Amino acid sequence: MKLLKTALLPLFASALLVFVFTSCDPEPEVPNEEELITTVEYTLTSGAETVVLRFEDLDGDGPNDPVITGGSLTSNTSYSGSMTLLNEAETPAEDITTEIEEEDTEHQFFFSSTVTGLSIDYADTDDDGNPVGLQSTLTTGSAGGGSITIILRHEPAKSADGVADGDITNAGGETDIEVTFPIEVL
Amino acid sequence: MQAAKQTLKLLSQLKFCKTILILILLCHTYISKAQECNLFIEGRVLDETTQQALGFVNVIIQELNVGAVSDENGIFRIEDICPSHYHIFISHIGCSTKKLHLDIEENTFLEIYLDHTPISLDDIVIEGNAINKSAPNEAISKDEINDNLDKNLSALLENEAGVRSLKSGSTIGKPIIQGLYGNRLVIINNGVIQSGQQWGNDHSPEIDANVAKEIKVLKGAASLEYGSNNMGSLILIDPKSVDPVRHINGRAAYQFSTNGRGHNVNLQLQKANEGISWRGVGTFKRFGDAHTPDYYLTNTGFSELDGALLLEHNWAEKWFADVYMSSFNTELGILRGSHVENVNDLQTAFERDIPFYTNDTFSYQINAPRQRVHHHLVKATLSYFISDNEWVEIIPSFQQNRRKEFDIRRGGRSEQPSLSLDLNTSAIDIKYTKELDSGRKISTGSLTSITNSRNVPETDILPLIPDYASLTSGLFGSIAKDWGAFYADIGIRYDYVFQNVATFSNGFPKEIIRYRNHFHNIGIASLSSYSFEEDQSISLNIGFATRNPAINELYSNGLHQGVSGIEEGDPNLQVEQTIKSVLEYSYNPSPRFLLSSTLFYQYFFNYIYLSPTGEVRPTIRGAFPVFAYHQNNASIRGLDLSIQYSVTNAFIIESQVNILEGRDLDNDIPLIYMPSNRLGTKITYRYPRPFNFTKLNIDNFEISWDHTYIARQNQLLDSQDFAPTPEAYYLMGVKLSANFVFSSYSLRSFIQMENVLNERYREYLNRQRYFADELGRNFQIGLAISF
Repeated sequence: MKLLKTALLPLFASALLVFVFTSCDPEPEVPNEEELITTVEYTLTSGAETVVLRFEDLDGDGPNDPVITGGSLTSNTSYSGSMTLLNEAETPAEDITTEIEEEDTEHQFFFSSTVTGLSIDYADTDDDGNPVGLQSTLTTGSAGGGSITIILRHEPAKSADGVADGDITNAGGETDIEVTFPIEVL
Repeated sequence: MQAAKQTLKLLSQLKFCKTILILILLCHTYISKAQECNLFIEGRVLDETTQQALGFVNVIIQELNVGAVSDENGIFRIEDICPSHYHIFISHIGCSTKKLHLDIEENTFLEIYLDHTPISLDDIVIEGNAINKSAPNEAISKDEINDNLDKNLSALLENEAGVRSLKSGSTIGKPIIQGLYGNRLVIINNGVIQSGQQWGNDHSPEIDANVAKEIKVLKGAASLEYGSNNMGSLILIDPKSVDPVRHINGRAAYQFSTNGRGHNVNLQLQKANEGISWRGVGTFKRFGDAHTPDYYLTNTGFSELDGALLLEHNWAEKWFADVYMSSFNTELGILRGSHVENVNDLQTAFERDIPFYTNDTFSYQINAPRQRVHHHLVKATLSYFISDNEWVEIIPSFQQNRRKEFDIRRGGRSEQPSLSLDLNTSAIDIKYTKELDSGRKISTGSLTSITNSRNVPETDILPLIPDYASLTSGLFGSIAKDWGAFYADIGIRYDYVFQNVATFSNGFPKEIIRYRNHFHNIGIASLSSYSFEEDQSISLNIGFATRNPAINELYSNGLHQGVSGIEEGDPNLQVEQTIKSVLEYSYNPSPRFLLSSTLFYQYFFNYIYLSPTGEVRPTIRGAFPVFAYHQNNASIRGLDLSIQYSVTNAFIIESQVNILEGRDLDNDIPLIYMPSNRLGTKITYRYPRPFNFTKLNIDNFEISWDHTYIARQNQLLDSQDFAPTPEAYYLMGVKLSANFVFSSYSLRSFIQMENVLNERYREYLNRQRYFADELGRNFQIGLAISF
């Protein structure tokens, strides 16, 4: 009998806990992802001509594919390039560009291109006199096609060999952005 | 009356400590009150398991600085003793030093049982009784724990056969036993299932190993008492009862490591009382950047502050209660150069000889990326002895686990955690045990626990693991019978698991999706063992267990920082099932030779594991490979072999071989994160008795020289990893240790060198292998005063 009592006690306790428990639901808060970058806009202007290269991925690491808009450029032309970073997951969209400006010594864009004759040079410097890349100059050569890749690194070693000239090899740091745009030079 | 009390005390201790049983028989044949210092202490030392006499056991009276060594019949005798209180140390090769506190007023005869075989046929904790002979288990003794203050739990366990660590750098490690780790390996801290963030490969168990008097690895399936999800192995951390010494006693230890310039301090105090007996343990550790043979591992320091308090009370001969509280707090730096984003970054990092961000100078500073972890436990045990062989235990417990991980973030957010989890677990455990006549024993009980896990909304990042609440409620029962040479037991366990989960939808905008899951887990285990020809024994352990998919396996979603991969759970995963068989054989023809071998085979139906899907997902930060949880049939099999041979009384050779293979049987490919094969040898010279050296009384003088060879993990296919697996390596270590015995205290001291050859190597089971070498040479000194 004693054995029966001993066995009943835990059963009763468990049943009680089950009852109490089933009434509680977790209530998570949707985080406000203010650090997220959803959109990169690289605006190229030459006189009256404006080309906007745009990469937009609203679901971040989610399964939806990003929307990539490439562009057509005129051969043998010099464009001034300006970078805009947005978080469009918020309404209204948040401008992340200012965050980069404030921490310009900790950030650097790196440009590379598969288009023959196309080159991109820095047109700005941070507080230490090193390049940032929010402002740049893009120069096209002869007609052709390919792509340009833009990488933004956080905390790169800006003083490392070649980094100030735009060579990413020794830069290190975390990749905040790595986007590739199809380009046609007409 | 006296005898009854003694039995009771033993029973109450059975659960907590059974390594030493001491019977004190007072001889009344001589004059009861000695006038002069002409008393003697005589005694006999026996092996607890084999009941054989133990020779060469050192027995020392601390206060008098005198001692004796037991002869081949286990007999010792110390004469010319004055009536007083004495501390007596008993030490023997292969077991930790025991301490007794005795009031000597008459001639005294002691019968001492030592659990002397390092791989002992020890009873498992569930039944905690002499009639139980479960699968041979490995135990780590107090001395070993004490000498390794700097090591985390996992590193400490690595010395044992068949145990390895899954590491992230040198400070984060989780144990792997016979290929099982994380969600598949249960850790029991003082009778309570550790409820931490076991799912993460970069999460150490949140336990200070220094609270333990013994750490045991239970292999085999006989550990049903400890809840569901136990797939065949578990780790028991046992702080044991307060030593029966009626004045404040304890131990203060300090250790220094050159690599990392690490300081370790540990203080243990205890006192046994008529009313409430108590023990307090405090640990502090502070390490800076570790060093490989060539460079500093920048930002790999850590600090740790832990405390534990145990209170015990025994009354009315029928009740025994204890309360245990522990707090574990740590802050760990993660190698700065191992923080990478996309696959290209990982490739770049891998091609470098020295990681990015390596500083030329040493620092104690811990910056992002770092982890800050707190784990608090409160538990109580209430035991009621219905009779000497029938008792009930009720164990309520509460655990709180807080984990914050800080990454390198933009806009001054590096001080804002990118992962912040609060996990609270309440449990109540009720057990009933009855020993029947003719060597039979039954035990039964129930365990109910409630877990609440919440992402603290301070990260501004989508969580990898959703918020959830879960309930587990289970019942178990087992029966054991001992026929002497033959022993058998069988047990069964059932658990109901309910998960209430709130996840976020994958797309944009985010919505909350709720899941309510019900699972049923069943465990069946049986053990039979047979001893024959006095020196051999064989045991077969067969178990079946099911494990419900864990929250991370079902719902993790997002970028797993530092692994350069997007991980996706599968809400449709099924319960994983396993059958494990363990065959053990031991041959112990003389106290000088011991061979023990374990052969195991484990088959999994629906083994849950993370594997690449082949998809490379473009994101704004570049391309990331997508990993998803899959289920396949799998097997893990292996052999652990150990041999111990005493060439002379002073000279011991120990060797270990561990071989393991894991396979995904459906795809006919190897399983990842399986340990490679290992060969280890240790040669020890131990001076067999105490001796005097320039007025110093020295005991346990020992020199050891160990060798470890780790083979390359060459089973893996190239497509299963980002980089080729590291080469095989060989490590050598030396250690010199001795105890200096003074009248009122003893001083333990050691000097040790790890990685003597300053070998450059990387280990497959260390996630840091992509970025940096393992630690170079390390000198350590340790001092500990026992009083």
